[in-house]
Amino acid sequence: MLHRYLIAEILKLRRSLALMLCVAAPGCVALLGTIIAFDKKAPVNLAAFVMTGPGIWSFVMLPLAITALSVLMAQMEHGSRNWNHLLTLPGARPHVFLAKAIVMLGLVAAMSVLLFLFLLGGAALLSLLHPLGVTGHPDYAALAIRLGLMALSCTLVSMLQLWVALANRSFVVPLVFGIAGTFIGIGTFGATKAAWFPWLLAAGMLSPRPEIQQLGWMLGGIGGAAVMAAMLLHLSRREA
Amino acid sequence: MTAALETHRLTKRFGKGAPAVDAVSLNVPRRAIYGFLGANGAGKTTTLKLVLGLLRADSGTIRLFGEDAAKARTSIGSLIETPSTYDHLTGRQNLDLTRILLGLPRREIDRVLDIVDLRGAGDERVGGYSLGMRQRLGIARALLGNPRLLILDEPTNGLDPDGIRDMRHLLRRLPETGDVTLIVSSHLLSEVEQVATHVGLLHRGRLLVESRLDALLGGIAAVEVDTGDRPRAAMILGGAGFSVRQSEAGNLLVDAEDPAEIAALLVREGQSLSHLARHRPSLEGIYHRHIAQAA
Repeated sequence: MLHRYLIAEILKLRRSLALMLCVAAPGCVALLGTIIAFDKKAPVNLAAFVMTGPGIWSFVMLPLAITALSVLMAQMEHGSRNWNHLLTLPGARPHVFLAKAIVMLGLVAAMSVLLFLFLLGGAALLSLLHPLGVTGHPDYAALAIRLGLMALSCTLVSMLQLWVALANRSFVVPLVFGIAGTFIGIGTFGATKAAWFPWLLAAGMLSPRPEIQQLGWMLGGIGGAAVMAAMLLHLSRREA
Repeated sequence: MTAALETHRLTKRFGKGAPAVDAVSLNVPRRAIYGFLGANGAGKTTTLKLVLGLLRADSGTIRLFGEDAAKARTSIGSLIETPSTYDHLTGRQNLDLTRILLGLPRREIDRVLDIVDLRGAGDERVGGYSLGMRQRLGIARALLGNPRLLILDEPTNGLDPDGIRDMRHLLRRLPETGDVTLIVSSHLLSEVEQVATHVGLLHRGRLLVESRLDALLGGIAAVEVDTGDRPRAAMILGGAGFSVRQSEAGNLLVDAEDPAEIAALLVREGQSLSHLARHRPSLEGIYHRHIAQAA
């Protein structure tokens, strides 16, 4: 049965704002980095260029994109009271919410892949068109691994955000939750225990310290799985 | 024959106030068009949500086609509150989502679109649909998989007169599409009166009356009559043993089955008739009488 719910969730995304967001968010980051690089009055170091993208991505754009994505996915159901239909269909209730969670994680992973591809495209554009030329050799393998670990480490935030969005009919609650988490993360970055803060786990992948990176993807991954289980338990038992 | 839906003393309370649904025992026969009536806030939607498993009852039981509701809910199609649609998708794509979840063949979509007369607009985005089209799409979705019990909550809500007429025709047609029982909740009594075979009247969470509609309406046969001299006519009819009241229009309302008998009596006594009609009590009148009795 789960596969049917997964197919339905994927088909719902056709022409949806959620899908547009998944292209626009990484696109904006890559575009911003490329424009800034074009504006430089010196040859562009491509190794540095491809690493500025993950910085903006992990601190600001990824948590905000997850916030918006969770709201858009949940509002698809809340908006027209689709729960009244979905939850009366035969099939285990947890499948409804599990399919949504899996698709959400898939979209976050897809955004990371797109960011990688857009940065690749940006580097190619700079190589071809920058008037002063380019220097350096970007480590694309390291970039791919870093973006992959960021996607894994934000599983916790994704599930927290999705839970809040699905549990509240109003979009304001998850929006405030996500924006507050993002800005508290920015404000507390550098504090001794900041590496444990869910909204900073992805940014931890930029740390030169391996233990911080490990904490990020382990806490993000395992914590995300635990929160997902709790969310399924709560939402499946709830009255519609 | 087992009923399509039976509830026994179904009760649901929100918070500490009066129960939203108070010991409601419904009996919906198979193949009936059951009008579930009551004012806004009477508890109709809550009762239907209990039947559908969207809410949990505090007490009471629900049986569908003789089985425990939890096992038999696969045989229900429903449209609760508002039509649940994805506006960014086409009508056909909306139906396709439910078709996939139910594991049905693709041809089911055309079948239900034909029933609700929406095939021509199936490839248009639902965001551009009128409310009436959305309601019909919601019904089409509820019909996917040929459910044996169809629950429609206020299907005429917000519709214009044309939309209401179309919906009425559709509701009349639905039982012809197969072995289907229809529960239609509404606060529009005159609309339900035109399509229902059975009715249940709900008031403040309690079921006041449940009956076949013809029995309910036919149980109070009367003849409405007017003559040039009403007091004299009333005396003649009273003298002949008929109970006489005044109708809303000011005419005489005689508790009798046969208008010809009343006409013959009055003419024999020299009265000239200016109005004679079989008086059919309206569902609205019956509803208000029961509400008044309950109060």
